[in-house]
Amino acid sequence: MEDEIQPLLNPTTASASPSVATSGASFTALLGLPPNRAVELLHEPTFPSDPALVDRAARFSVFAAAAAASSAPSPEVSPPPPPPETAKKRKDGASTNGKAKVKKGKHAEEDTDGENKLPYVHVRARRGQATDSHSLAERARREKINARMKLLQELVPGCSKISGTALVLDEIINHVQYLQRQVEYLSMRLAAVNPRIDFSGLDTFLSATTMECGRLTIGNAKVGTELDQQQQQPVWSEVGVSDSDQMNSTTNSKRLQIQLQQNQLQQFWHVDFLNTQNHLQPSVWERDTVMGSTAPHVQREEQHSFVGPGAVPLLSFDRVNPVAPPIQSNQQLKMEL
Amino acid sequence: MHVTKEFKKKTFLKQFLLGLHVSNSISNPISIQQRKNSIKLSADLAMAFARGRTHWTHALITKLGQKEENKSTLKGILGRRYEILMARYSCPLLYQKVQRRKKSVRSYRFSYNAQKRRSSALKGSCVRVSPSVVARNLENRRTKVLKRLVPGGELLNGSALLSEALDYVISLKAQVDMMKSLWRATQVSSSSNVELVPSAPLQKKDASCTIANSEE
Repeated sequence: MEDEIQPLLNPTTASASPSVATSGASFTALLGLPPNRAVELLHEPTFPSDPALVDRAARFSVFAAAAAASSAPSPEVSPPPPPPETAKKRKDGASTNGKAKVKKGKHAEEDTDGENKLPYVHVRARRGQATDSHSLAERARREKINARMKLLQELVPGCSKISGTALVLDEIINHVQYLQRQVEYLSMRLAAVNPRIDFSGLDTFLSATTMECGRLTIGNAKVGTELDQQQQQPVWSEVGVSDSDQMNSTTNSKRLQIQLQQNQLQQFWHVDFLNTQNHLQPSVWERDTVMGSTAPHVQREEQHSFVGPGAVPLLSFDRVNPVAPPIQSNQQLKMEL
Repeated sequence: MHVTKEFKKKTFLKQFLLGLHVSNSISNPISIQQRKNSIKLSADLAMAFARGRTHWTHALITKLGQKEENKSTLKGILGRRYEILMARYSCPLLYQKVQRRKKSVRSYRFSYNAQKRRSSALKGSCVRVSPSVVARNLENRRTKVLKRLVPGGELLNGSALLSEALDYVISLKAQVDMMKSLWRATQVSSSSNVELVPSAPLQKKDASCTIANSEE
């Protein structure tokens, strides 16, 4: 995961480190709390295949890296904090440096990985702002909320231009309602299209869909937003390996699978999506029967009955041809490009 | 991070299909409305399961479990987990608290509006409201709407609500994408039966399709 973010990190670290140097680590220290929480937050939810989010995550992991980098300057921050400690006791806005500095130690919840979390977050009050604990807590809370709002802004399309909390909230609400309505609509469509979903071959389908997930998520990636191809490929080979592990397939078919996925990827990016659906779909079923050929023939019967009238022709094709033609069609797929 | 999302999609599909299977086996739904509801139910459940343990997933599952018509389906899908979940999270107290809070909010809003009206009646047509108050009002109103939208949002506040909303939006997007691709998969499988793709690179597949059709 870090490897994938590295190339994104590199252009951004160049921009981040000067800011760290110039602002004297105050800005990132201010943001030190929310991005840590944000990074924590980002590490928890599963990560969608969305380049905007990848950028955002990269940016926040940049902040994490910058925070880690600023933990190196934080030793040099901590010698100045003892004098501002006295400044805090004075409750004076103006400090010796002309900038109000207050050290506030906030214990992060857990130190899981040292590079992501600082043990103490030194928050510096901005110039001319009150330094009592209430307003500090208030400000920290507000910073947290603002960081989350920023994340949400980047998540919801078309929200980054809007300034102001209420309008952004409005957009978020609209987006949530839109997504919920889409779920309703899609479930209605799925209900309409399949009058009878026959799940007699559920087990084989479930195992098959672990591979189909590969294809489907390629579909998602294309439909959603443009994704970096380099990013996808290591993921895909990973998924392919894990899938074939589940299937207990032979090494041959494993190689085939990975090959197929990479072919599909290349195909995918060169050809229009709608067309590739037709490319991909047969190859998925081919793959299914590459798996299926190793399994007993009974499963093929189940596959037949499961998929229903629509895909039966494809599956019967698979029954006719042994493993060899899929390899040929693989090569043909390669040559098509 | 990509890895976790891949697993989530797999688990989503598995759960979704399992849910559909269970709902179909339990009660053969007659109308499209029922089918839609069962599909939506299993989709929501699958999304909640794929996401893992967060506040909104628990709230969603609890909410789904409280409706009478869903209980049998839930039982079938969750199995023994259903009892555990229901026992832990079916605190009616929680929702009573929420109801009470809602009422207090409503009454507060009513009283506030009444105050405003009184003040406006006294001072004339214009009510002197500072822009920050206006902004705060807008924000509060929108926060309330968001609370209603996000499952389990009623109980949360501020940054927690926003983080839950963020998580929820991510999962919703993933759910929509998965359903869309499932839909497209059914479309393609049915359309490839009807028409053969005429493009040249697909000759081999055309041949295969014709073989298949002739076999049928």
